[in-house]
Amino acid sequence: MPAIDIRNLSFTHPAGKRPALDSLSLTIEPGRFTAVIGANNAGKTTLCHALSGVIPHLFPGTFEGRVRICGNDIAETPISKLALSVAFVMQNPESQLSGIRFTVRDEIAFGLENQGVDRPEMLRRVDRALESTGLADLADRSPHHLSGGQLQKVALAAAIAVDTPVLILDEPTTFLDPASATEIFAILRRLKQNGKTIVVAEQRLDSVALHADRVLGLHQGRLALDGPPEEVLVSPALREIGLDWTRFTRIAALARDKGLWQKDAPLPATLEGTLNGLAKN
Amino acid sequence: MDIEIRDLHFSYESGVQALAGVSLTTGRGETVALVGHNGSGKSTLVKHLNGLLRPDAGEVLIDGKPTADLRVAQIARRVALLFQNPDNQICKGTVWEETVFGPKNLGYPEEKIRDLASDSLAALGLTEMRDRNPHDLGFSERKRLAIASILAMNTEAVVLDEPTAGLDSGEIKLLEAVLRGLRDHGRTVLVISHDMDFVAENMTRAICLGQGRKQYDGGLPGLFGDPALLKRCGLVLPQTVQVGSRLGLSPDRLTPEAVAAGLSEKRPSPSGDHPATSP
Amino acid sequence: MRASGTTLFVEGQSRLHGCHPFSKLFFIPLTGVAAYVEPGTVQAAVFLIVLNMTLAAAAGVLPTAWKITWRTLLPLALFMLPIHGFLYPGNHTPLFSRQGLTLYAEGLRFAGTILAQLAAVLSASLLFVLTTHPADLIAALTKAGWPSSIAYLLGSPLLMLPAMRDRTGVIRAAQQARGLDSGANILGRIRSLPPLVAPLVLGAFAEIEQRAIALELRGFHSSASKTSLRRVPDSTAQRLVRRLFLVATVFLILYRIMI
Repeated sequence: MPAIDIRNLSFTHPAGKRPALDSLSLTIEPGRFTAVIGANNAGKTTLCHALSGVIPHLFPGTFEGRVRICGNDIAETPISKLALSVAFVMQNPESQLSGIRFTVRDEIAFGLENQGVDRPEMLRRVDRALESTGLADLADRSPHHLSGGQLQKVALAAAIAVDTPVLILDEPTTFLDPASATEIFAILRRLKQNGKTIVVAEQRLDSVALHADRVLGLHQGRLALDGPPEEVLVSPALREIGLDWTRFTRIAALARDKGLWQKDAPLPATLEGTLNGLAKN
Repeated sequence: MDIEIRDLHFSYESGVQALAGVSLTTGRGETVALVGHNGSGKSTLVKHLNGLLRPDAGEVLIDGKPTADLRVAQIARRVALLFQNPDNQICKGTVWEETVFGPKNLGYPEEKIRDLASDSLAALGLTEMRDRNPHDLGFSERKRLAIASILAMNTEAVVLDEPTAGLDSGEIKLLEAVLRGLRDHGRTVLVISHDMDFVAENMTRAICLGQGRKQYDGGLPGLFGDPALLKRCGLVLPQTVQVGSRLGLSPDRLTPEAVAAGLSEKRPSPSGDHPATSP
Repeated sequence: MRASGTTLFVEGQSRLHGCHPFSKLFFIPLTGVAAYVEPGTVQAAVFLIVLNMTLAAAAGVLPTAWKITWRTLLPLALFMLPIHGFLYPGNHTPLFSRQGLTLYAEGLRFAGTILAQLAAVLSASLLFVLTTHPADLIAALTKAGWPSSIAYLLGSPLLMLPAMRDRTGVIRAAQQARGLDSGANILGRIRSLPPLVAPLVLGAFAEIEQRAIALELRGFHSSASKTSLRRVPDSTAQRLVRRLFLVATVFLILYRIMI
């Protein structure tokens, strides 16, 4: 059974002139790390909402098609039950906190409390989440005193603690400094190694190139590109959907124009790829 | 316009010392990146440039004149400051109204306001949205609107705090063109940014703050060529310099084109004028 | 000692901080009725003020409690003492007279008693507010079987207000940077209000919407019976004390009505 199964999904916001998502169909197998890329307004956030149940449960609009997460039809499953299969980390680190918890530890436990997990089990899971996000030292601090990067790790830890098989993240690093962004991706990579299915909308294509197994390129609500990062991120079509190659790719392409790149060798999207390619010539 | 900061000290009420003696000067047409890790004092520093914060010790001079006696609204005529979050400033019902808010406050004549606002909206690709309600727009559109509303104030110096956060690559290109225009008109541009690729390709000078003090002030190659400094200040190398440094190129190659040119200089391709053949 | 920055709550490790929120909550009505039990006398109220301020000192919150108490009561006192001193119906012992106005002892004593009673109730309330984190109150309410949404509604404003105060500062700075000059006169200030209020209100709405989504997605309205990681410490002794507080409160009310 695929972790995510989308059939003919279309969604139009009440005030929208065109659909935010337009006839999307795709499946994602369990344990995969999928990045969703695209220009702003391409539909990345709406897709994240549709994968976490925000749509159609909490936002009005015209919803067509079918989305299944771990076999559950999201339109027919109550959102509190969906919370057992999918966790969602939003772009803004502050507004996704419960806002009513005393310490980081309590904040991370919030989702578990709502599920009625018993206290010893809860303590184990919260400690593990603190450990795996490197937040152990901040466990007893008030969430209101943390930086954006630390808050985003708290949100991630809360998702880890509820231990859902699927994790959706909507541009989690937009407001973070590069060091925090790198840490977030390192945590996601470990989660993937532990078998989680991860879908992350992201603008940092160099990070996508390093971590994703598969890249979905959205353009005006449609699935324009779909493939492994080494293909999608260096495709000339990337520019047609309003994105730019990484500088690593651009350097390799310029080197190719100058005859400094092996003929017919594919362009890379990572630092190592570019260095290796240049070394071969 | 010349901005001079002399030995600036500032502590917050909580007792946290944010600036412990910072001095710098910037001149006409300079594009300066202000970098450093979170809490290094960057935002505190720029709030002194237009008087939002007043120094505990030291002073801020604009064209040689101290700003201590001027109100913020008076300095705003000369130095515009964009905050990170556009939602903390958007207050009007249409994109147009929002854009003219600043210039109106500064008391410009009607016609000048119209021209400035139209030009600013056009520069940020918002002309077609001028009658929309800002709150019906997406985040990056609101961010561009906030930038446009600052530009429309037509000040000699513009300070932008994380202007690229949330923008996609197409939108960043618009911003880059705007900054080039400002530089060509002799405006001073100061940008706080974590986005080193953006800094590398658009700024000519970097000031790095750490622990309330200036850690570096100079050209970008000097910053990117000092790994210990970068590490201390929590900075990463731009992608171009990451490639260049591993290939032994000097850190003044800041664009993909410059790196590629460096590669061919270093190792002139034998097949430069002929189609390359597989080895 | 330091205000937590999010609420009036002052972080600390004292016995009072460790008390169950309900114990501190039940103490407030008890203080109230005890202070008023003998309407004409000030002794009970003074005793309670001394007691509560001593407790505040033991909990390390005396400076904050003292500051809030006098800042609240001073304006009241400036108003009440002369009014009653001159005009209290039972006035007959003149203390001081000038230009036909006479200040009487009875009126001053009456006003002083009311102020002392208010101070007693205020100090008991401050003991609760300053040593109880809203999160603990929410946890205690939830544990006592109150619906979580009501507990949230009661507790979250306490936590959100300080964040709004911080945002107000940022918004003011952002608009001043765009040349908004509130100036010195009243008219200018009124005119400068909408650009400050609009982003604050719209921002608060946006944040509430986001937070509502986050709460839903984290199963806040799940029908499962909730558990709690945070243990709000309670004890048989405290439960007994709360019962005593309640009985004493009821007894004092009855005593007041009967006698």
